[in-house]
Amino acid sequence: MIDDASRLGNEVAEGASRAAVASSVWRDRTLLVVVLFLMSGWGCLAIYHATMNGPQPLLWAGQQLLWLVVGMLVLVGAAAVPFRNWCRWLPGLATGAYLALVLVLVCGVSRHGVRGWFAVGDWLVQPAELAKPVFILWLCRQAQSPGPGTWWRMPVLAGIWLLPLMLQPDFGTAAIYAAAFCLVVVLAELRQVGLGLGAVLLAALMAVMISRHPYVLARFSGFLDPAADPFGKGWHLLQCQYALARGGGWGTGWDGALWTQAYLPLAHNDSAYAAMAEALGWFQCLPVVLAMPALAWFCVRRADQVAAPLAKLYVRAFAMTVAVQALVHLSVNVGLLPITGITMPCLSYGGSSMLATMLGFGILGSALAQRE
Amino acid sequence: MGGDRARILLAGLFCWAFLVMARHGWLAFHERERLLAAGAELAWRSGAIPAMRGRILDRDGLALAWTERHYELWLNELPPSVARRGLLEAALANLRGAADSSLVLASGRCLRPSLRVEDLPRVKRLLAVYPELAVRPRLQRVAVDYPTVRQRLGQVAIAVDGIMTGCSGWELRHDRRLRGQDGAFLVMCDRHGNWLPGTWRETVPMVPGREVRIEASLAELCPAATTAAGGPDD
Repeated sequence: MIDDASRLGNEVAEGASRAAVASSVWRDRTLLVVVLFLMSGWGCLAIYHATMNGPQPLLWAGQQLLWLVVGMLVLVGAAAVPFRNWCRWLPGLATGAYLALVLVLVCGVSRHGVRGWFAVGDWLVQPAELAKPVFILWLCRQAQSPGPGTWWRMPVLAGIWLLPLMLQPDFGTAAIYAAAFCLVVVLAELRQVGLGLGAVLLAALMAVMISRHPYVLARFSGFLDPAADPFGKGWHLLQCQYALARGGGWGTGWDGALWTQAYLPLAHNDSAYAAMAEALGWFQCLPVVLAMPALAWFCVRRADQVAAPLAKLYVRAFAMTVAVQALVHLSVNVGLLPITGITMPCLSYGGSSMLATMLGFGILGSALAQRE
Repeated sequence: MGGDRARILLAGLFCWAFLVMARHGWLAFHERERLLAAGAELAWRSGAIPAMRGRILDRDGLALAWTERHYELWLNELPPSVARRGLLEAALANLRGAADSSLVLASGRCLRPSLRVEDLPRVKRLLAVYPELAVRPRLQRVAVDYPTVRQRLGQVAIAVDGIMTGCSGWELRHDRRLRGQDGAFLVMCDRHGNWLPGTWRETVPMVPGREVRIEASLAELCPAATTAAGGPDD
């Protein structure tokens, strides 16, 4: 009888604990959905104001809103899938993602000199974006696989993933993939010689590719001294600086953001932060700068409660990769880095980017359920 | 596993974010004046507001010479792609009507010398879709169509910015009274050179020219004329 009571007590305690965990998971997922929805909605507003004086003022913002709705469904749906299912599907997903990266080189369409999109009717799909969360999960799986050759296998396999990206050539996205690789190696506490090997391989790959694409060197020279060629290589960076200066401390207001409408190139995606800074100013852009690092901080904190090592690693790696991508975009717009073509997650225009970000956070939401 | 490293990386990310904020602040506050001046040099354009030249009237108040304002549709730069040129040609054909035959697009070409009032809504839509197009005002000096009167009136030279100067005859003799005072404006232009709405402002007010009344009537100047074409009552 004492044993029955003890057992009953344990069951009750266990049930209460499970309920508490479920409640906590539900709370975290809800917070994730709300934050991502608000950020993406803010992005739609910014896109509208950046393009409202064009021939079709509602086109870009309208499309982004559509992608936001679809993205929210993907986010919620992906989070509802048990994480073990994602792990089970991973080989197929990774194979499909890599094949798409290779196939786009053969039958993809080019934009701005990069053959990186599939044309599906009137829509353009960028496989490099959609493959990103799959690549990160795959990297985490590789890092968790025991074996003596992990330290060299991982950089070589990562290099194989990067190769089709560099052949597009999309060096900006390749750099984000490389950043994800570095993050996974560091977070998984792998032997740092693997990181060194990866860096050497990456540098060699990039040197070969850059030699074949002089425009990359032109971007660097434009970054080092934009005023030397203000109407050529330095044009984009200078327009970002002018937009930031016009914004000042408190911005010109959305309607007063004339530089965004008249001069800022690609104000709806590559220069999204500069466009926002002109309208809002430095003070009101602070939350935008801190949003992704804060979201990464939240995810890392929650990852401490995740039991499964793979899930824990993925939560940390993906959240930080998104934060790195956001900071790269911000750095380009304020002139700390050369022009890369990297978009701001959730804020810049791009359906593939939106879906990839939501998919990645959906898998993250699923991973958060692997609680102790 | 990796918790401490995650925290170190997070700290690095926040340091990066603060660096971005610092750089943004540098540009938005410390470098602001210099960058605004450089941007103004790129974007702001000044121009003259040609004064409306005054009318020349005869003794009875009939207008012998007056100024009319017309609006021209210009193609500033040729569209880069063949497809876009085709679309532009089709749109212009609808505007110009079936009477206009083949249209040859070329940079810096006047496509329509005098837009009609009913054309303006369609032109406005065209300008939103094709920033390569521009509408330019043009002042034209008009005189009654009698050779003897025209000879007495004289000639007017029109500069590129529309400022008129009398060269001969009454136009020259009364030039100071007729020409008025040209104004000046500032406007912000986009990268295609088109004016941005809401940015035009007058910096020097334009003073229109005054009327000159000649001590002769049209009937005396040209006995064959029984009526004179009247100008706009401006």
